[in-house]
Amino acid sequence: MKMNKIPYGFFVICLLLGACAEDKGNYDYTSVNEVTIDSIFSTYSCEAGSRLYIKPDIKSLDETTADLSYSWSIKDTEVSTDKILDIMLPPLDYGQQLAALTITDNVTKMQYRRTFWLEIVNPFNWGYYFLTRKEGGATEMAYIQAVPGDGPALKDVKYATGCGDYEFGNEPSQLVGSFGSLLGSYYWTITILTRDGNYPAIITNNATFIANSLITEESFSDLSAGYHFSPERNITTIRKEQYFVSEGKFLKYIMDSGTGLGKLYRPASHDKEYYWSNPCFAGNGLAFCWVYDELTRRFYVIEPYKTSNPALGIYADANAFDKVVEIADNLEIKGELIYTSVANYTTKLNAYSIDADGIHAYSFDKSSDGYSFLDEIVLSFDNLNGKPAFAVGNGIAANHWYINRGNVIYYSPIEAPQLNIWKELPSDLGLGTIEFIGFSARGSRMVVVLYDENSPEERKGSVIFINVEDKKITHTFPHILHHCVDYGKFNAYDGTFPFTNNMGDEK
Amino acid sequence: MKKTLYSWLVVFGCLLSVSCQQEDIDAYDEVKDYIYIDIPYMLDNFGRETNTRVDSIAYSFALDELSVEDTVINVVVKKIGVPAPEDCPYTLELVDEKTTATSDLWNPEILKNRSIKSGKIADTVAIRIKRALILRDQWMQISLRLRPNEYFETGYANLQEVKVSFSDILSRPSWWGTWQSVFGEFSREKYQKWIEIYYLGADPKLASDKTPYYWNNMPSYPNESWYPITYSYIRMLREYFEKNEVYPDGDSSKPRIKIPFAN
Repeated sequence: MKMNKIPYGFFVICLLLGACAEDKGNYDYTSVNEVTIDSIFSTYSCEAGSRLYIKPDIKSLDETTADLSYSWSIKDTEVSTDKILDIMLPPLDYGQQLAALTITDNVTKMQYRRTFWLEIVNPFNWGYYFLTRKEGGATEMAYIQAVPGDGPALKDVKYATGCGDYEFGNEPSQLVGSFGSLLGSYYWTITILTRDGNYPAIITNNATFIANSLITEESFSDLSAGYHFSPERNITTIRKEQYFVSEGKFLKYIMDSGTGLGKLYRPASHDKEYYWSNPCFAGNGLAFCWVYDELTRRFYVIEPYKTSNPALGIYADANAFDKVVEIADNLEIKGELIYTSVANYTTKLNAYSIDADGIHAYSFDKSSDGYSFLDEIVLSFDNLNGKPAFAVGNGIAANHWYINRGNVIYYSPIEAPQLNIWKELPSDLGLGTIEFIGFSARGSRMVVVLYDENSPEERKGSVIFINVEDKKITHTFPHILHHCVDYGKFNAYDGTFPFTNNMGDEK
Repeated sequence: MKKTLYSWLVVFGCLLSVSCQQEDIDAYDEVKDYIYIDIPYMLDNFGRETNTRVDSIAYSFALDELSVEDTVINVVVKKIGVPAPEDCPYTLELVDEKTTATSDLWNPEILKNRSIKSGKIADTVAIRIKRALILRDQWMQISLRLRPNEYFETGYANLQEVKVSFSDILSRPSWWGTWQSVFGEFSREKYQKWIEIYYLGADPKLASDKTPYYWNNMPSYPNESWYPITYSYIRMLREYFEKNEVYPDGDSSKPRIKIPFAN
């Protein structure tokens, strides 16, 4: 018992000694030199392999004692250790790539990090696309990049004769764009049609300009039928359904919206022979299409049968516009048909043709009684030398159409047409005569293609931009095109529309 | 001790006597050639030949187009050795107890007067099989066996006999129930046409496991918005049965086959 008492006493003495210990800790706190990073946007859109310049706004609480090191990384790979990022981009996949600036305080070893996205796009991305035909029929795509500020210059013109490994065919016929969600962002899906080649329809986009889908004769659902595919027109409805006119036949492209891949359905089958052209879908989503028959020179409406009647050889099929509907008071179109359109959210078709009498403006519409011809207005317009360029304005140029005679551009309201001179191009331009008229994405810039048959240049076509408001020529791109067949305004001069990634050149 | 020694001597003696026994080994007959049926090898998952021969040569009409009325199944008979300068007849007999196919399905006469032609080492017995209604319900079998004759001895023991099996059985696939509202009641005619129309490679859309959609790998749910390409083929199927009067088993007393999927 006595033995046990000795350790307890020892512990008590130790505790008492411990209580007398003096705390010699340092309680004079100093604040950490905190770093803040600003002026880095959430997303940068960059052309693959292009220069990337980012000057961040970096602040620390005590600039005099700050000792910072910098590390810029893309996909976890360090690309710079400078404070300001100024690099040529390394090879990267198209689409969004995560990037970051990491700042290390070398005194405290604390790290501060700001992440952002790089949207890697191909050299053909946002701007003005021209589908052109070389002498002999070969296809070349010319592209003027949308450049903010002063706008694009001659150095911003690029060319392509195919998408990736897939060459465009000969005899280009159409260039179509459709804007929407793609690759986790918003881009233009671009369809390029040629009438003679291995790939009559190449579907790409302005994020990669790589062929996403190829539509050929092998794309028909029924391969045993031996259908031929030589597309003249492609049309996308308000419901994002795609149709083609191929050798006068009307057919649907059944597309999986997730992948963009699809199959060509059988051509519409009718009880008479027609050769369709100029398809125009109703702008309100109704499942009918105005079409022009080159054989009878009349407009018709085609739509799917809703019920089958096998005795009459009628089979209801929503994918096949087999039913041909005669238009009330239908008439033969005079002269050469040069343009057709249906205004957004309406069913009214406006069609324009030209002959020796002048311009014929026709209108047709759908009512509860069916489809009917409304009226024809003839505008005197003589001394035409060849087929004129014709365009319907959009954006601030909307509700008007434009046509040229020589190098004079005329315009007219769509409703109650009457011709007025819009602008006469200077006679000293020396770039030939007007071949094509188009507009920028928001209609504030007219894009005019001129062609000089006598030019010694390889490319005899030139492009000028005209400011729609003051009608002044703002940009000239001499001798950059072959014959312009079609034009696409894929964010050309449109930088502020919220859904278009701010990637245009109008800032 | 003596007893044990005798025992060992007896055992030793027996061993000696056995070792002196003469075995009758068949001598290789240099006059006659050996003959066998070249039964095909099984294929692996990649379509390559394995080292294992199939149990029987089988054929199913089930995936053929409806217009197919017959097919030919080849049985190859080979000799071991060099080609002979003259035709060498061989005997291929029908094994009745193992044969279920009746002579209206094939022609047994084809087994007669078979020979391996001069300069050849093989002969192909092309058995033409008729696609009869009875094959829709059961497998039929023809069993053939080689017999030795004055020209040939039989070679490999396991290659002397072959079974040729054939049918036209097409069962309702497991996915049919999910798609019944679109396809309607199962019938072999519908299924057969669907197999023909929605073939492997028809649809570029892939399932989540990256496998292609086709008749044997249908989308999980019947939804046209999700699977517009599948539905475009269904429309083709529907149009086929609208344009063609087809009855189950060709029996026009039964309701005509139609696809109920509405537009």
